[in-house]
Formats: sequence, structure tokens, C-alpha cells
Amino acid sequence: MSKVKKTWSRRKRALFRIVFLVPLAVLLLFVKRYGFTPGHALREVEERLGCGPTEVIRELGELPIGDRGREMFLAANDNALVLGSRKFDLGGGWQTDSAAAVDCSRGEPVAAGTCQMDVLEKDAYGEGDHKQTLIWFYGRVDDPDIQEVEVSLVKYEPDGTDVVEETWAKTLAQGEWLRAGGRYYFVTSWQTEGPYREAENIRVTLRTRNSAGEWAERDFLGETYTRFH
Amino acid sequence: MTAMTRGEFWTRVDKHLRRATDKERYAIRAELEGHIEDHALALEESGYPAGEAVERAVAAMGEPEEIGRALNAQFSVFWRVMIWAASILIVVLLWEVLTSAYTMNWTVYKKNRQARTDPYNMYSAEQAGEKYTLSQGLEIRETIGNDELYVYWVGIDPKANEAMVAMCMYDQDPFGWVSRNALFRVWLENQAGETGLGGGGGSDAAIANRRIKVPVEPGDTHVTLRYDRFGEELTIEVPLPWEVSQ
Repeated sequence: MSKVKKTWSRRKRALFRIVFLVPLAVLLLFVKRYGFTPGHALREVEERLGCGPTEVIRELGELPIGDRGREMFLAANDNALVLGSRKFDLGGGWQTDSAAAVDCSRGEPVAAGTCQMDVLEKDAYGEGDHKQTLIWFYGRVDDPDIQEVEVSLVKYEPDGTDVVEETWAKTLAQGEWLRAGGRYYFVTSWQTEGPYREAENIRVTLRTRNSAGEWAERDFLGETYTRFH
Repeated sequence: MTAMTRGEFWTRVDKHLRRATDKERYAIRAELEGHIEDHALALEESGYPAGEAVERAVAAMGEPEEIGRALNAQFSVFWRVMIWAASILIVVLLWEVLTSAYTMNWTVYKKNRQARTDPYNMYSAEQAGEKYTLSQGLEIRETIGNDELYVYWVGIDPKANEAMVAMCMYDQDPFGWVSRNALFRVWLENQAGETGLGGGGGSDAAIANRRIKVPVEPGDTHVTLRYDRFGEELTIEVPLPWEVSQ
């Protein structure tokens, strides 16, 4: 009897290669640290900030300026409040590129932070950079006597003394705060209509009002907004 | 009519195998010849002379054109394209796996390992200033979150009465990212409670390095590193090497 070696059909050869592709693709996603879920981006934020495991308490939607598809979120644990951003792209999955945090472990009545995002955008004709700024204000209220939180941007004289004008202010009453895990949080943002110039001596202030109607100025304790990449 | 030889039979089949590659043609020829050979052997065993057995076996194969057309129909263009596409994808993915493994994992691992074992050669504290003539290597490691703080060097500038402490931070997971934010929230105090000044540093995804200097007085026995963030507190007393030979 002759020994005829049967060769694989084209279909079988193609299917064999396709089957081999599957574990290869999984391996690639593993070595590329592919972000399959939004939680992957949150874990990266926790890792980079060193704040421990957190949970998202509010999705803040897509960033209105800069990169399209970049979504902001507020996450928290007992000791930290994190404002982060994440974005999905096909090549890397869910990834983060920046975040800021507030240390809430110091027993302050309000632990709040600000986060300024400057974005350079080309105009419709691709000419001239147009700088836009978005400032976030976020915090945790631990004093049950606090009824309202007010954030404002005040323009000062260059020597930093006299107030020229109040650029923007927002008061958030208890009813507008977020409640998660038995704690109260607030978050709001302000976007410039035109270029925001630091030379204008704009100062951000935070005030709280208690049940007796007394206002108290508070410090922002938040850490600087960090870009990771 | 003269009988067909094996060679003639193959030539007529082959004419119709337009979609087959050379390799596939070779395989078909081997298979067809195997069948002819088997049949001829069987005929020989039944008493036919060798030459006639082959002729009959070839004739029994049927119309070569018909066989050629039937075989050709089996070579689907679609699956050939799929083989090529899958092969190209395999090469691309393999390349991506190797480059990503190198850039995103091996580099992180290498730096993490160096931070654990030999941070001097990455960011030498001594390079920051040769004026720290009294110095000592240290082996102080503490955990912050899931990172390790490694305090590896202390030096004193006796002329300026200044001490410098060098430290680095790396993730406990050899492939993990470090929290540079945590390292840059560490501060240094002298025995009078004065806070130290920045002495330089740097960071990337795998390692963060920092040097802090603080004024000291002769007779001070130590300086203190402190960390208090996100509910985690750390105090490390770093002994001052006044007695160390230069």
C-alpha cells in the first residue's frame, strides 16, 4: 500500500490560524494592560494617586472641552475623594490620563478641592489656538451643621488686596449635594467663555453657611491635578 | 485508442487546477498517484501484468478533465484569502505582543527591580552634591498603600550643617505602577521640627525618586521622614552619620 499523506484543506488551515489568533489576541490585551471595563481606568487612578480602592459615586459626563469622549467621574472611599477622567479607545480600552484627589481623613468639616483644566483648541479654520478653561469644585461635607456651600471666583487687584469684581459664584444647598455611603458630596464646574488669564488675579474661594446662618471661609485641601502620561 | 499513461493523466487533470497553488498541486498529484499505485498493485496481485495493471488503474480513475474540474472547485478563493489574512494578523499580533511586552511590562519590571535592589545607579544622591561628605547607605523600607518606600541614603554637609535623605518608591507588584503623588507628600523634619526643602527627584510609571534636604545641628542624632495622607501615617527616624568615615 502506498502511504499518501493527506494535506489539510484550505478551510481547515484557515480555521487553525483563526483559532491560534484568539489566545494571541488575549495575550496581547494582557500585555497591553487593555482596559476592558471603566473600572480598569478607576484602578489606574487609584494606583497612580495611592488613595486605595474607591467607588464611583457620580458620573459627571463628557468633558465639554478638549478631547471628545473624555468622561469625568467622582469616586470616593472613607479617606479620599477623587475627581478623575477616563476615555475609551479601541487600542487601549478604558484608560485614564489624569486625576486629582482630596484627603478627607483630617477631620475637617469640609474637605474640598479645585481642579483647573486648560485646553488649547484650534478655531474652526484651524488657525490660532483658543485657550479654554474648565474649573471643577468638589468636596465632601462632614459637618452636619453645614447647610450650604458657596464657591466663587473673585478678581483681585494685582497686589492681591482689593476685590475688583466677583467673576462667578455658585451656592449649593444641601438638596443639591450627592449622598453616597451615608456621606454628602458636592461637585460643580465653571467654564470660561473666552481665554482664562491667570494674570487677571482670579482667586477661588470656598465658604460654608451653618444652620445659624453664619458664613465661614474654608481652605481647599485638594492635591494638584495630575496628568499621568 | 492508446491507453493513457500516468503522466498524461496528471497533465490533463492539472490543466484544470487553476486555483491550486504549487504546493497543493504537488499534494493532489501525490494523492492521485497513490490511488493509481494501490489499484495497480491490487490488479497485479490478481494476475495482470505490471504494465497492463497500471494502464487499467489509470483508466479506472475516470475522465481526467472531470476530476480536474471537481478538484479545482474545492479550492475556495475565500479560504485562501482567509489563510493570508489570518497569517498576516498572526505576524502583526506577535510583533505587537513582543513590543508591548517590552515597552509596557519589561521596562516597568526592570526599573522596579533596580529600585528594589540598586537605586543608586538610577538616581545617585551623591551626584546631587559632593558636599555631603559624611554619608551612609541605608536599608529602610516601609509600605505606603501598595507601594514600598525605600530610604537608601543619607548624607551630611558638615560645613553648611545640612542633611540630605534620598529615597525612592516602587510598587509591590513588580509590574505595577508607582504612586509618585504619595512619594511627593513625604516630608522631612529635623529635631527642631523644621521642615526640609526639596533636593530634586524624578519619576516615571515604575519608580519615583526624591531627595530632601534639611538643616541640622552638630549633635542631632536623626532627621524624621513623615507621611500623613488618606488616613495613612508613617514616621521614620533616619540616623545621621556624623561618625561615619568619609
